Amino acid sequence: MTTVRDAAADVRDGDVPGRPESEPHHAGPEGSPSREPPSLATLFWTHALVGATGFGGSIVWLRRLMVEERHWLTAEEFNNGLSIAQFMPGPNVFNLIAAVSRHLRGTTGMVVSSIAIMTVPLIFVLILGTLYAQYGDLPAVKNAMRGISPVAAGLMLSFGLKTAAAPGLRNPIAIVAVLTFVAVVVFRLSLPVVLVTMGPLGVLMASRRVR
Amino acid sequence: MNEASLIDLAVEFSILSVLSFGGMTSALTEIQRVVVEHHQWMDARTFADLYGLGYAMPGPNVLVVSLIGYHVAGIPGCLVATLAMAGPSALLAMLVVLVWDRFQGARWRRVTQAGLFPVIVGLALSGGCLITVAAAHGPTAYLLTALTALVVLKTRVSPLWLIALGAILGLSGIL
Repeated sequence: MTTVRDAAADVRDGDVPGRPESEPHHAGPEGSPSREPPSLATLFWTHALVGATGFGGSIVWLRRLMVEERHWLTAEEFNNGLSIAQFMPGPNVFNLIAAVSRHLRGTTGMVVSSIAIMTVPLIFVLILGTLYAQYGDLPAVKNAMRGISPVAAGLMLSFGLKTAAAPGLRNPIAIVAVLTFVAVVVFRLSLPVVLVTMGPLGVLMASRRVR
Repeated sequence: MNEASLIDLAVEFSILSVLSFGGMTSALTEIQRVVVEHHQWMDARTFADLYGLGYAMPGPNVLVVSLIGYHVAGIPGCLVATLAMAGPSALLAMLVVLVWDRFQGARWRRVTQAGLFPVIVGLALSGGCLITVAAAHGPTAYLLTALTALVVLKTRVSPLWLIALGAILGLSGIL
């Protein structure tokens, strides 16, 4: 699995400005680009689409939508939202939608987006749930999934690499990313354990560097 | 369906919502304990089937809980369980963001942000690797994973085409 090594190398290299990301679309050197928050209708339809297509984790598709295609958020704003979403309890997709909602029409936007992202999947739940209750086994779904899961894995990998390419992962602190990776992949530590050990370690290391 | 199970669904999943640090994946054992052992809403095999079904569907992985709710108490159960699992934690996240934004520019905030970010990167990368291994039924699967990652990183082609390709390969028995 060369991807693992490449990924680790990316993490070590740290600051890799404007790599495969479509950053050039953003105006302004640091802060927010000049942009209009999307309308509630736009929020609904785009999130409904993410919900309908979100194989392999909706967060991957949300990043693609919000950062790369529509430029509603900068990569940094998305990453900050993602940090909060991951460190808070609960399903992280809704945490993320809540955490970035202040950039996207506030609480109303959050509610609209959350409902939208569940609309199509809930219809699937009703259909597949009923079929399951009747037949107990769904071979066609299983077969299709055998083909879809490697694609979902590839999406998740590219998401990880894009996140790693963000500036802000400078040399010494990148070791925390490597340690987190090892803790999860090699030692199979549970996520809560990883969060309470690696989080403080990262903050401790950052407190020595950030002024 | 009786009201008792709707209330039980609401209470149990609200508690899980605010306690499930690490998200749905790490909440799974506790969900199974509550659903299979404590309330005996279903047997372990049904739970495993619904879990697999939930992950097979597109959309947020909270769908596992939606399926459980549907199985226990029909459409109302589905809605109650989903809202209970996603709502409380999302409100909590929103409150944290409110506090967070009040301290814009504060040193402790920048330190926390800088310190938590590498953990997120590590988690994203390890998630990708674990799913790759779990999804790999053979060399073709690895190839498809690598192709997807490459296409997504290097081109602007929509991943939907790759999802369709995967579904066709799976249905035709190639994968």
